[in-house]
Amino acid sequence: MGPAHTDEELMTAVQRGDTQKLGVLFDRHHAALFRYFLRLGASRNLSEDLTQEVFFRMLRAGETWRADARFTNWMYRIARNSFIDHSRKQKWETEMAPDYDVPAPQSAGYEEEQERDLVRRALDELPPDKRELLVLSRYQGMKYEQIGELLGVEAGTIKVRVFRALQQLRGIYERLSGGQHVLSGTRG
Amino acid sequence: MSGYQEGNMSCREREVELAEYLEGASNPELKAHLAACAECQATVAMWERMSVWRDETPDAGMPMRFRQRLKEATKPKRQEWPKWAAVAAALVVSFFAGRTTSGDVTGLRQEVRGLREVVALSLLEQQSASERLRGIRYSAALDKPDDEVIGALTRTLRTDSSVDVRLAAADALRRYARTEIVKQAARELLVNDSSPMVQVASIDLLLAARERKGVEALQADPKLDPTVKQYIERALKQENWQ
Repeated sequence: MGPAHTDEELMTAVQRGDTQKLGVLFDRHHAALFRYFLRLGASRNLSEDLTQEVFFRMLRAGETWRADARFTNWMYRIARNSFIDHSRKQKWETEMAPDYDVPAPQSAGYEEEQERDLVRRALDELPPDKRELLVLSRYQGMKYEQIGELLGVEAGTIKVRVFRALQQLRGIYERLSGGQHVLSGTRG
Repeated sequence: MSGYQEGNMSCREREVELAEYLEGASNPELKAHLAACAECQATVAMWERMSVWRDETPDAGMPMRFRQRLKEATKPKRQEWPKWAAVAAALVVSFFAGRTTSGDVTGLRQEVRGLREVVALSLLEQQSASERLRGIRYSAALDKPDDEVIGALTRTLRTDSSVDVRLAAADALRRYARTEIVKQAARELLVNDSSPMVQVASIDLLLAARERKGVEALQADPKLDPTVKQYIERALKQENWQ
């Protein structure tokens, strides 16, 4: 396609009825959203469903799009809502039978795999709001200002919260790993 | 905890700076603090450690599946009647045209059963995974599905792109585990399916079909997923005292 359009231009076109442009936005952002849901604790299947859901919500909620807004913020707002709605709906089901996930094959050594499992389990134990902060800042590569905008909170507050969430995660991680990683973490 | 009070500023007062440091801000004074404070160092190390959970790649077919659904969702709403609805309408018409006075209840039952099978078959072919799941539930509710339905369920079990749908198909097929095509599919999936969960479901199918030998033989396969192997051991033990 000719000169690259910004996300905002594409979304405005979608809003005006050129719905096929949503496909271009999907190409650009589906992988990031997929990972976002995955790291919030969804299975691969569910992450795919939720990712699609976000874009269909964009289609339905097209009129709430304002051309002067930042597309990714709007997208993450919809993504958060989709995840929250889903969690509410699924809460009792997941409690009955935790979602069995099929992990993507990753070429990693045994130790690295163990460590990844520990990190995942530690994130699972973190309260959802704190997990979200770490997912956005660490994995989604979002700046504190942007997270603040997304959550409607001052960037300074976000910084403090992120650091405290990280401290809590580290506490859980150390407990899960039986203390064996405490020292390796402090070697400097 | 010890160490959480280094220097003039406490660690708590440095939280904002520490967070900025995580984002890459350079801060020589903070670096000096970090060098001396084991507590903060360990927390920063946790940030680094989080990278072991590397980016996972979504399924390559995702954009294509999305575009298909998008096309469905945005196509003009006329002639939206699905195939099975047309068949249903035709059956109702033929019933009223031909049978209103005959009172042939058996004939009617057969037609309704035929209709249900058509519905089940057409749902199994839908684009959306949730529709296909509906198709499976529908098929599972059939009293005596014909070969075509069992065949379609088996095809779904073998080829559906969604693990959830494959698992549901395996569940629905349990009642027909002794059918040759079902056994055949279970044997293949046990070796070829990428999902350990589906492999486990195939084991259940084979055991339900009393195909113990095939399952036992598999235990020796060195490529077998360890979780699946464990499952086989447990399943065979249970079989023993059943």
